[in-house]
Amino acid sequence: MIQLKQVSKRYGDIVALDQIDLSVQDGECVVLIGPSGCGKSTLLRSINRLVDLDEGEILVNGQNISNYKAEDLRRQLGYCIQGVGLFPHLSVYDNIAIVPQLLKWDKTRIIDRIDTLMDLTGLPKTYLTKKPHELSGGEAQRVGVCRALAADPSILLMDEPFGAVDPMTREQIQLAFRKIQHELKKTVLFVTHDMEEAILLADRIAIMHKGKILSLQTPGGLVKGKQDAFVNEFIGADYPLRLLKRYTLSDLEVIKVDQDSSKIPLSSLNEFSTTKEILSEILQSGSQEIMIQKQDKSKVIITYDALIELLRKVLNNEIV
Amino acid sequence: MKSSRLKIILGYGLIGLASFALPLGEFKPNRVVKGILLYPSDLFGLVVTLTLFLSILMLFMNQIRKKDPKAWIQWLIISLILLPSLALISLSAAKVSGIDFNPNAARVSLGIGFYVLLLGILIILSQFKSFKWLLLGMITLIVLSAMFDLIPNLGLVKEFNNVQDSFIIALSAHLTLALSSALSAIIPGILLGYVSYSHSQWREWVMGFVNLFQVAPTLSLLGLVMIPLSLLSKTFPVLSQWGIKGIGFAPAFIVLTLYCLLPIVANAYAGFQQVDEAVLSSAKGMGMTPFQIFAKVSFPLASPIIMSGIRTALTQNIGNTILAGLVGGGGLGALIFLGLSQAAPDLVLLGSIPVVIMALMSDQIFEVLEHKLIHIMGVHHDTTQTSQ
Repeated sequence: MIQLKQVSKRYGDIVALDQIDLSVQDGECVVLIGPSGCGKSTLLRSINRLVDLDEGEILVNGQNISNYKAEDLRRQLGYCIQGVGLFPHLSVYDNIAIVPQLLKWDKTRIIDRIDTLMDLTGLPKTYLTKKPHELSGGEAQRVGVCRALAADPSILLMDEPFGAVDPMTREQIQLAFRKIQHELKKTVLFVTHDMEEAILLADRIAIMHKGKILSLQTPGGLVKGKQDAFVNEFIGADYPLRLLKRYTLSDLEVIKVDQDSSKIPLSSLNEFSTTKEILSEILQSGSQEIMIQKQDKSKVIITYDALIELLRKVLNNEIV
Repeated sequence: MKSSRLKIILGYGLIGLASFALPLGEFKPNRVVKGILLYPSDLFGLVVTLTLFLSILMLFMNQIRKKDPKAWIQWLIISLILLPSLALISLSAAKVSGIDFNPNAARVSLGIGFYVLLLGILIILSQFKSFKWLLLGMITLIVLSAMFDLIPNLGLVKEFNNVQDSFIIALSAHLTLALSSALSAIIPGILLGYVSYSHSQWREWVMGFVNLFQVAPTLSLLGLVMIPLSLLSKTFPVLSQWGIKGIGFAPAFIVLTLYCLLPIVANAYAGFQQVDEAVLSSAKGMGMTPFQIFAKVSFPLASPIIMSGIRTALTQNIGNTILAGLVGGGGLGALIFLGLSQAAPDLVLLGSIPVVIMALMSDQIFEVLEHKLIHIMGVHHDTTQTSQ
């Protein structure tokens, strides 16, 4: 758990953080988003003491961070930044092993741990001897995630970690990270400037502006209620539509059909397609419904109304 | 393409000029008297060798050109490298009739033709990537022909035989002085480079300090160092027992060390500077201590560029060490200045040629080391091209 109490930071006349209160629950992923210069990175970097606070206090798992030596604190927190920052002179193995080595783990434990991480992020073991320059952008990013997770920290701090990869790869690695997060349930504080990324990964989204958190809501909850004018403008009028990217077939109410009873043509989508893709497919088909074949060969019909119902539930916070 | 064609025309033009019109050497009955110029046409041996050479070359050209143009070029290179040694051998064997001379004192000095020949060869070879290796190979051949007594009458060889013992002492003193002063500059140089990188407010001071030595002419710097040192040793006689005196090893060592600082500091600074900010930031964020960051991240990643600075420093230092001869610091400079004072150009050459060879060798060895480091560190090649 991460708790920030009345945290402030100034650079000269500029207020980077203005009396911020925030708490990230165990196993929760909070995404900080906002225009550049809003203080989101400063907030993140104040937690591992790369930035020193002017006022307020930060508790990590109940302990005030100023009670730790800065290096000891940082070794407990997984940290992943934009551009990965892999060490070019070290192999993938040595890059991932850095924090465990700093914590003086024995070698077999490190090897075991790295094995697990490579499986988790879907990297082949043959990559362990490669140098970073031999990896593609997406692979390097995965190694970056492995490195942040290496010493099995309960808390992950991620500073626009996927900002530097191309859009295709970014989406893949976002989905991979979401899967990992579902499995490991880390306490994550994630900085981004990409709303789609926030919608996809966040349990709660914190919108920051001029050093303040203007709104801290679930992705669905962000739309409802009294909103700040800035927040409204920032999330955009098409926000509900963008929300659809977060959900898949399993979140929808569907009609099961027999093998060959329906005349509705089969769409090319599958059960992992997002509801945004499903909506697009319905709009293209010109009808009110489409049929999708699942992996187990069973077929389902999805109606336009089911999508509307999903959005209603999301906006009412019945589904997170 | 255009410049390489120009080089070939110029190179062969010079070789042709040297082979037909210019005196390749000078035959002297003894060290001081004026000698008789030796033209290529006088050198029966050289003409024969060249003719043989060309005919074999033609043979190979016709045979190989069709199959493998590369082999043809290789053969051309080999023949160019052999040419100076062959010219020297012919010169040494030159027979001069009509004058009386003592075979022990008689010698052949190098003439303008030989230098033009050498220049032509170098211009042609300079377009090959492995130019420095080729040059080293050529020099090795010449040294080998001297060692196997193929060029006994060459003035250079005669001078060497005269001063053999002191030559070896001078050579080892030169190497000791050049290496020790360059090595002593490495650690302070790297630290100063790191300080000017990590504390930007000190950078101007550090750079100003090391630039000062580079801007001051070496000779005047020597003079400046000699005065306080001699005062010191007069005030504290015990210092002179340790070798710290106004003349000799100490002032030369100090000046050379100071001279080595600039390339090392500048390259170390550039090396630390080019380490990716994201890498440093993640090193810090993962909980590495400042020392760990320096030792495990910054330094290894800066090392290829630092190595290039050490290479520059050592290579220039081998040349600068000549000046130690002026302040009694020994080294090959002593031979060169002796040769100058006795108007014995061969002695000057005997002192200078080893300096050139050593500088070339150190440059080559360090270049290889540098590339190894670049490979190990996974750093990109172009980062090594830094200013000095």
